[in-house]
Amino acid sequence: MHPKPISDLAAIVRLAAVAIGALCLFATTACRTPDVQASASPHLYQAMKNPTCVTREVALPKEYDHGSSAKQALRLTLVNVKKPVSDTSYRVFLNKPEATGATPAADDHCLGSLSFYGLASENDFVLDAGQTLDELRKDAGYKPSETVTITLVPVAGGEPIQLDELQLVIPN
Amino acid sequence: MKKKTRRDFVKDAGMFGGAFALYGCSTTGGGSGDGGNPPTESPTGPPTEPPTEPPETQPPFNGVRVRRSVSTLDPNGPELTAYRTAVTRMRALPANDRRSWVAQANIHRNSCPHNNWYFLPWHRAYLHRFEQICAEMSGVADFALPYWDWSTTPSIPSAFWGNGNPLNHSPRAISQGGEYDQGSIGLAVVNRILATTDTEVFMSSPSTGQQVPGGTGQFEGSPHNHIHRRTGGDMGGTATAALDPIFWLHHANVDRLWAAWTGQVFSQEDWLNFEFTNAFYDASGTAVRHSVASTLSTVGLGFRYEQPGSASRLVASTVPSTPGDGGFGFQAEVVAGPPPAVVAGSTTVRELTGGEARIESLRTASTRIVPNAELRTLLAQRRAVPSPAAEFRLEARGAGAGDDPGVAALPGPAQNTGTPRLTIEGVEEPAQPATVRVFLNAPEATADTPVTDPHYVGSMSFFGADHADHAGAHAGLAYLFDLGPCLDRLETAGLYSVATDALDVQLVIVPVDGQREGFETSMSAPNKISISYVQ
Repeated sequence: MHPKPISDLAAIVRLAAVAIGALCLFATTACRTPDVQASASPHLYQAMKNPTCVTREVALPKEYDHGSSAKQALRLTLVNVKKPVSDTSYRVFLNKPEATGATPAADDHCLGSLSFYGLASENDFVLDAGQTLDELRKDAGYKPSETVTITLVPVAGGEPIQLDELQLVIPN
Repeated sequence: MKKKTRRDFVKDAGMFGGAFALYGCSTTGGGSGDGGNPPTESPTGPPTEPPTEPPETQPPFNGVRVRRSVSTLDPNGPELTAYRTAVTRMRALPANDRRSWVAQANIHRNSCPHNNWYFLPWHRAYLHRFEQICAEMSGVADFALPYWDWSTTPSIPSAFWGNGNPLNHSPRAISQGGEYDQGSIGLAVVNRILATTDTEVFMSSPSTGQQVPGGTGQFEGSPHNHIHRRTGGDMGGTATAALDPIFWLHHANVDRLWAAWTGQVFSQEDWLNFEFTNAFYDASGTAVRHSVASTLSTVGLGFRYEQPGSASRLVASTVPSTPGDGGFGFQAEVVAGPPPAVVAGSTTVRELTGGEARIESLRTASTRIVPNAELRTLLAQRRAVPSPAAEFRLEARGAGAGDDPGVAALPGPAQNTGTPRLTIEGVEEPAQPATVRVFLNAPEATADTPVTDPHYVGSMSFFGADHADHAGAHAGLAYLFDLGPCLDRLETAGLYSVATDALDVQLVIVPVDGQREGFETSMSAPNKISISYVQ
């Protein structure tokens, strides 16, 4: 059976409108990452490029001394990370919002990785952020600020990480 | 509250309930806590060679077991043969025998703590008791569980594959030769974790119960978890993981890295005094209990690691190369030790005997280190003074700590809380695939000198060197070795005197594939070789 020819200009316009609407809907849903904070986030564009990556801005503790050249302990806690459906693990990057699954773990900004094992369906994870931030601070090009970005990247194409919160604290 | 190091803890053990509490591995008779339905063991094919009948009951082993890297062991050598025999015999035991393979796996299934601060001490106790059962089942009294250093050998060793091999296990998701993610288990990752001073990052977070999640530290959540998940099959889940014989070597490596970590353990008494809710079982199948405190000294439990952290201890050197000093380019001043908090005395003035800028394959490069008075004193004390751990074990015995063969009077050889550490820094990878063997006072050592030679200290392998380059701006690698076992062997054999002898360190390049004929390569001499004494 041959498709019905579209001869009506109005029908063409309606079809075009539907198509544009669908594209807009796709752009605002399929490319949206679940944990990018606000639509005005400067990381939104990057998040749309890497839809499985999650980037958040996290405040440094007030006690953190930006001017110090000494080593400073700093702990990143990922609060209530949901166990992924797939068997993916995640890499964690500091101040690397452009990180993707192709960014190597040897990157200067990589804090480490995490995998699920055990019974819990959600759990906190604790990583050392101090070593990486210390090393970045030695870089003359790095300007410390009161916030850093944390980017969570699934390895090998897994689903985006789901979690409640990211915290940076100075451990006791 | 100030946290304590493990050694602090051993010294202060009496504060936490005395001898019985520290090595409080009481027998409980009959045992409970690991009940439940046994997992179904996956078929691996019937074991062929090893006998299934139990051996004669072994007398208690009163020495210290030495856990070695599986990659240094001959697949058909005594250690792995003993493990195969033990696995086979444990599988043949009736299911109601607590030493049976399935019953042991059930302990993990029903009681293992993960995602909290009990993770490391619980698994140490679990392996310790399993090791004793293996010794009994294999008939090898000093059996020591090998460890799988996945950072330097990032695939399951060949000894754990093959039809009919009791160490093979099906199903595994990973296939033979399949590698693991270097971003999760590689040397650079592991060394970053070892360098952390944050107790929760290394040991996971406090919780209110043995199986209550508290938070997963980077050590547990990255390399440990990744090995389980990537291996897959039974290893991928807590209910079945311990059915795979590689499980025990994986956790031996986790435990080794804990032993190598110089950070401070938790000081909270509710952690230290926590008694695990499940029973473990000794070589006779008798239920025994462990507290967290009972696990804090490996020597106290009757085992140690041949090289606690050396094989995978790789850090970017911060020492600049200073060529032109007439030797290998080594620095020639007194060497600063590792972080002051862990150094009792350091170290040496070094003389050089090499005179070459490069080390050639199949030739032995040697450098001499003359211990200063402080180092000689520390080395001598190490031999002469029993450690607090040793004293405590004797006390525990006297207090009637039970018939635990791992908790017994120490034999003659010194057990000291200090460690003489050899550090080789600024190491560049040889041009061809090779490892570099390190010997002590063996000027005659060659590439044919076996690793069983008493002068052998350890090896430097170069997997992950790209990471070190990245982190250290091509500053080379640094390797740390525990000299203690080698010094003990040499002194016992009359081949070394701490009072008078210098320490000659030999480096020998050995081809990875073992093919000596026609093998030629070279490497830059390391920047610095030093000995420090770490407490």
